[in-house]
Amino acid sequence: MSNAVQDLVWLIPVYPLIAFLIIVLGRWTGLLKPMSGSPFVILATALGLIHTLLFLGNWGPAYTAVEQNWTWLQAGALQLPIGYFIDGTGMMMLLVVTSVSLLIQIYTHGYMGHDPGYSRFYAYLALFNFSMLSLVLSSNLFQMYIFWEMVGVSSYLLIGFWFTRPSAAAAATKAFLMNRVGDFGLLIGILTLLYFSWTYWQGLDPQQLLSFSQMDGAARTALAAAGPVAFTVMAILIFMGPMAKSAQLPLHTWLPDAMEGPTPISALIHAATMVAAGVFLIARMYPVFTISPNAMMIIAWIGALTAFVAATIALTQVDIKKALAYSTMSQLGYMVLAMGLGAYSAGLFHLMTHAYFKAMLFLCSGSVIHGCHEEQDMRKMGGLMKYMPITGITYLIGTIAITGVLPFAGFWSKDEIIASAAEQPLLFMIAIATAAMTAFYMFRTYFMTFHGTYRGHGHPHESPKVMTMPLAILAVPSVILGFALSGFFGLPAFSQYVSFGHAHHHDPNLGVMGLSILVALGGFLVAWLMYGQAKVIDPARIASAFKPVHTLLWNKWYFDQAYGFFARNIYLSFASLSAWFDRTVIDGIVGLTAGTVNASGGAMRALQNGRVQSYLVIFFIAVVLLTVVLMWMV
Amino acid sequence: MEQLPVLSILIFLPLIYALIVPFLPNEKRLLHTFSTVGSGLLFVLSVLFWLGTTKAGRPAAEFMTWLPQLGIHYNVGADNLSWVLVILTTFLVLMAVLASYTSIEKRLKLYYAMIFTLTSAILGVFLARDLFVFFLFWELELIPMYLLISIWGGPRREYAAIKFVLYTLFGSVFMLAAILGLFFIARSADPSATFAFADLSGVSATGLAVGTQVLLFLGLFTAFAIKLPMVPFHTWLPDAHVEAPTPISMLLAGILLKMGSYGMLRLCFGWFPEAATVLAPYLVLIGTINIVYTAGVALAQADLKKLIAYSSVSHMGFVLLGLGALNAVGFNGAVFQMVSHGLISAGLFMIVGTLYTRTHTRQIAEMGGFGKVLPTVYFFALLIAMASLGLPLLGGFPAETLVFYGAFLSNAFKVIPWFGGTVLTLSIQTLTIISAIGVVLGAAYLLWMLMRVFMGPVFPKWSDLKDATPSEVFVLAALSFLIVAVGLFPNLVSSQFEREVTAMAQPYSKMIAELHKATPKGQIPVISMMSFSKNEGGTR
Repeated sequence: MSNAVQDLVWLIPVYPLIAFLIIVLGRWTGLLKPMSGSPFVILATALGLIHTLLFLGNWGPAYTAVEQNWTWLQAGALQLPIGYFIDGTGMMMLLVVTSVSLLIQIYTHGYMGHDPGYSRFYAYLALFNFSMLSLVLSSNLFQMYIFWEMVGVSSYLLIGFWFTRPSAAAAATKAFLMNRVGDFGLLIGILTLLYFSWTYWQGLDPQQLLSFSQMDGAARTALAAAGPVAFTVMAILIFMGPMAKSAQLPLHTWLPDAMEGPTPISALIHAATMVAAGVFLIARMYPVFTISPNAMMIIAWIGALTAFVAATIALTQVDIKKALAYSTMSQLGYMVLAMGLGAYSAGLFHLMTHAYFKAMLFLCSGSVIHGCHEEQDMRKMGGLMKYMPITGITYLIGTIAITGVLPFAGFWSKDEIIASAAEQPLLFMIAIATAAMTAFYMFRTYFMTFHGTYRGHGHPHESPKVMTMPLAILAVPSVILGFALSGFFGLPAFSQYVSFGHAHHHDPNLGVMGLSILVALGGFLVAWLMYGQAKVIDPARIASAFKPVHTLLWNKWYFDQAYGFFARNIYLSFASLSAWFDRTVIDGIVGLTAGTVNASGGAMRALQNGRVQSYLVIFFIAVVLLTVVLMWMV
Repeated sequence: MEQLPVLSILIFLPLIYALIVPFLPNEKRLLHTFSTVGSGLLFVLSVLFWLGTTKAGRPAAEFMTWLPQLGIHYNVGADNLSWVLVILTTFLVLMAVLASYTSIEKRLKLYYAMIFTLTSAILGVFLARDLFVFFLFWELELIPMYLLISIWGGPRREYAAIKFVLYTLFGSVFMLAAILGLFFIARSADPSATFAFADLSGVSATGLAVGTQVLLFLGLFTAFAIKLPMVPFHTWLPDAHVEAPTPISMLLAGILLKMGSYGMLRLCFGWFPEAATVLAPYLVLIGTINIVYTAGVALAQADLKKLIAYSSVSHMGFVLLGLGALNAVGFNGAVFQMVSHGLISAGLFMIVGTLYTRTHTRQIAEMGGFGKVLPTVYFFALLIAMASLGLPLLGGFPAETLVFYGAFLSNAFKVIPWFGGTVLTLSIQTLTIISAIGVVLGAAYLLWMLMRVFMGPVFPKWSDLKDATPSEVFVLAALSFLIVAVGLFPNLVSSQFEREVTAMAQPYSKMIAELHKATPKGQIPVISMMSFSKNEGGTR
């Protein structure tokens, strides 16, 4: 039994692939009705979750990594393998992806129940699950690149699900393109790594090319061959992939726009799983990053700045999904910061807790949007706690969890990250400031949405059970996951399962704990004063008092404008310049030559009369002439 | 199988079709059916013959004395490199015939006669094992192609067709000169030498001066580069595509361009390794320009078909990059790119064709929201465009991967020697990185194309367009099926030609080592490990 479960672990991504094929073929042949795609996908995901749990149950206490490889493509001495590789980190990702997916797919039935594209939506969800699970199982960097792109295209399809809306079409295109820029870096990074570590891989089984289990030796070989500077450049090139995928500065602007997709997608792909793949890739490539202190420092700084900038933008957002999107970006910044600081376990712990509570928050926002008749502007909400209590309470739980209040999940994971920054004052200050802003903007969204009086149109209503039930289930890990795996309450700590090198557990830093709770309370207090029942401080006055800052934040630090400028003036100039050059210069020279020929020979025109016979005659004469010439020469 | 001249059957069967077609009654349906069955049979036969000869375990070869005093003989043969392209050809001809149902209205007899003549010529090029026969088939292809564009083409068809012919003839002059030169060099060494590939392929190894080798290489190369097409010899292609009817565009992009890349690999790189080693830096440089520059041009196109045509040119640049890598991985990547580009570009032109038959416009600005009214076309457009921009698990990715890996791990050159002894400090790695920008640009123009054509609200005037017809769906589905199959299981394709193509790269590690002996500093000896030594499969 246990062997079969282990040997067939590659089936986990295959289940959703089969579901995808069933829907595509079923819809195409007409055997499947438009509203009938969901059971296959939900069943496939459930099977994946069960398989994962069985694997975990039969894994035993050793948690030794399992690996298997096959050759996918071979040419000359190059063999590109695919396979699976499961260790603690991979298992954690498997659990997160299958469990969150399952709940969101159930929720989707309620959210998308009246959409004519119901089956198509489930087909895309299945395609995403296949890609994401394959990414998680990847045994080597090349395979991860394959599925890295596949999750990207799933995301593209789902952001652009309502493709008749111009904004959705633009958002999908933007997401794909921005990720392509990151993938360009990743591709070059992979090639550079392979180039410098080729001798190392030569000594191994060819099916282990670029495999994560052997990355340590490859990194050392590459560092010796490349020298520290080139090696750092290479590491940063690889990091460009996560930069785009996990929405780090400056490749982040696609993520807020991606909220054009249906809300379940925002929860699943753009909060819980796919965007975290960037952090996962950093984890998998940790042997490379850790031996380059400069690369680690750059990663930490990009993470910290992302966390900070995103939090500042979230302060002024009025669209509930956009606010959550910037919050996601900010939390991803925390995770990347942790990875850059060498706090491997802390970063991945936050990835896990964040996946649950952020998925829940997004599903809550979906429930709110659903209940308020497709309204997303928080200025037109308010007082919803009365109308949708389950949504309201779960949203509050999520808010507390992300804010980092004891004993909710976010406290334990985020606290570890902040504590790991304690030795670098600047990063530490940024992390603390971001924590304060997080508390403020999250409670701001909570108060604006659920407190006060309803400012929208129509009558808001609670969502059906099929939507609230997943919320309630997700609330459980959002509350308990943190302290359950904190190592204080009987269970082993998270770092016992998921660690880089040998597991080590930090003692809690009480000072940092106290400080982070303090700033969280401060953030909450200000939010309450401004947006709570009391309304002691008028937000409009604050905005006008800090006009330049507010304008900067309202315009999201002008990143979109900068990219727009770049696209219009550089990208498109290159295109139109090339086109002009092609038409005028190259074809001009050709035309001149041809024109001369044409003018000189009216006879030519007589020949080009479009009749087959004349061409055959010319051809024949040419051959005869050639033959004669040859005979004479031989 | 022993006695059956399978290769000659494949070459001349279409010619027989072309002779039968004029005598059939002038009924549309009958002509379509005849051509479909005929090309279907040809495709099935090509697969069966391939399986048969593979089973027999020896390369197919047929020989007939023709003009012995000139050293010219009818000599055809097939290794797996040829077979892959032959099967691609017969398959795409079948697809093109099916695509003709909806896009060709007038003079069907002549049309199909020309299509089949074209097929014969192309198959002849891929199967010829006598350089003169090769040249004849190469030239024979011109006539049907000229007529197909100039009779069934768009408003500027005459201009486009003449441009095509003049360009090709220009290249042929150089090719002919090189062929004759090569022949006489061979004759001077061995009076019994003929035009047979076997007699000519080893000429360069007989102590021929590098300068002469380079001249011969370039003579042949010019013709192939025009066909490929390589910048700056490419401007005939967008015009030809824009004017050509859909099935002809499919054949043009799908197979005709492969005549160029096939010739480059087998004749230029296969026969003149020393010259190729000397010229590789420039070829890779031009290949890079091909990829990035034409991608930029594609980005600026307002005409959908022109956009796809430039995208086709851009992707053929990968063939140059792969060949210029001078190692087994790059060569395999180049061949793989021929196969996947054949399927993908045919598919893209089919998409353009289905849109054109409905809207009679190619202007992107006049399109919009087709995803809503033409969901089936949108589905296939999405799939094929994704394959074109190199999405993994679809056909384009394995080819681009091999080319990138081959080029980046290549040791072909560290700098580009320039006139007067100065050098451009561009290594093949740097040029590979620049080429990879083409992948970003490729994503840009294809995604913008999808966005502007298929997404967004439907224009009112297009709100009652009819979705794809059964024959269109069949063509798109067959192409897509292969694109997905190749993408999921690339080894099934590459293992067919891998041994032979790898053997072609065999001489290069020594060549490069000798060339670099003068400047050994700062080199990582990658290439010597990249080319196999245990594969000794012959190519002729």
